[in-house]
Amino acid sequence: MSAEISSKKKQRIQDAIVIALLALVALSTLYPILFMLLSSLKGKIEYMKNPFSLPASVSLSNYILLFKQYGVMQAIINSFFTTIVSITFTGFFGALAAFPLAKLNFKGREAVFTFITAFMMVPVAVLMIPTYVMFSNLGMINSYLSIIIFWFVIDLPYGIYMMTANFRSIPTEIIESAKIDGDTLPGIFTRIILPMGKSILVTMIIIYFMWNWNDLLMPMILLNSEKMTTLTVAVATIVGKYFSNLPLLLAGLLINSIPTIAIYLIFQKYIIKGVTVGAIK
Amino acid sequence: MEALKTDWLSSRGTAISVIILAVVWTQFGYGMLVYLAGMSSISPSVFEASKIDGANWFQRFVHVILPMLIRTTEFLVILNTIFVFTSLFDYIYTITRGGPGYDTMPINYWIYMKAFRSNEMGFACALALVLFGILLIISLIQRKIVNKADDWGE
Repeated sequence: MSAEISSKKKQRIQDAIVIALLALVALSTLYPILFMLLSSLKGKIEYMKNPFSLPASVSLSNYILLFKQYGVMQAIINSFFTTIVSITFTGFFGALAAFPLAKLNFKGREAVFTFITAFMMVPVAVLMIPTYVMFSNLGMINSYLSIIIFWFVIDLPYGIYMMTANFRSIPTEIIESAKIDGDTLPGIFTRIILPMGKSILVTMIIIYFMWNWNDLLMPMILLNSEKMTTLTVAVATIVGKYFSNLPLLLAGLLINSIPTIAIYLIFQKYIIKGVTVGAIK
Repeated sequence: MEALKTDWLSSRGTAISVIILAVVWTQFGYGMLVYLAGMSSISPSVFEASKIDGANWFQRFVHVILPMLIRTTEFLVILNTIFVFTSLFDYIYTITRGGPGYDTMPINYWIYMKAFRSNEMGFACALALVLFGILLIISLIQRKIVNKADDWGE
């Protein structure tokens, strides 16, 4: 009897230790976000005196400065416009390409699939010079279209790969019976494939949003005027110019991370599925 | 505490450790998720059996869980290797800009510097091709590992 109690007690202590360690890890992950929030409410001098203290009074002066003087509003509009347009196109055309690759039999299907997925391996760093030269020859530097086209092309193979793998699990019998009932291919796509593959489509669009929203390199190269640039680049350029004013920078970083944090909180389930899909077979 | 006060970003050797810390901090959640997904696909009966055989948690971890997660580990190692070659730009640009000297200069930031800051397009293109070659080799290794893993399957 006493042995049982002591083993129960031991189990409880073990659990407590594990939970405490995990809580520590969670805290270390959340702390920088908290630090960002608290510091962005401070003035520059207050921050330099003690970076870790709580703000003496809540002042939104950093945010007001960002919107009034640094044109952050324009950058937010640019970011949302380019990101949303590119993810809409990539999601739609990705699904459109994945449907035949997963469910229709045609000659050379495997070859096309291998060809498309091979482009997943080409890194952006390799492509940035040819892309820049090409767009500058076309006179498209500093236009939304350049970054939208680039993101569309770069994101598409991964989406096709993921969606093809997912669409394959849709039972062929359903498609066959729809064919027998006289449905055409566009009808099958909109009435069967899209509703049944909704979860992977949402997952892909969220992943694309995070990639494109956080992309720093390509918007910096392709949209280099202050009026056209995206929020991530705008904030990063504030770093370069005003490294001494960290609270201002942290306020900008917080604005930049709000959409991704919000999307994470809303679509948590999809994101966890999205990052682990492909990891395990 | 005074002795610990170093300018982490501008001394040689320490700047790269700051970058490493930042990369680990941002990427470790992803690794955790992947391992979690891998672990949840291990059948619970395996844990039960090893418990009955009297293995403690450390033995269970080393002899049961780690060997069963070898595929997940391979996947993560490959993915993180590719990540280091392709995605360090953001960290370098915002934290050190390659300095001090060339201490924290990764290949993709170097390409950017040569092409768009010092206008040496030829040099940058050569670097890009070297990077492409490295990644091609890594992908071939990855493909080999994936194929090998498929052979193990039923």
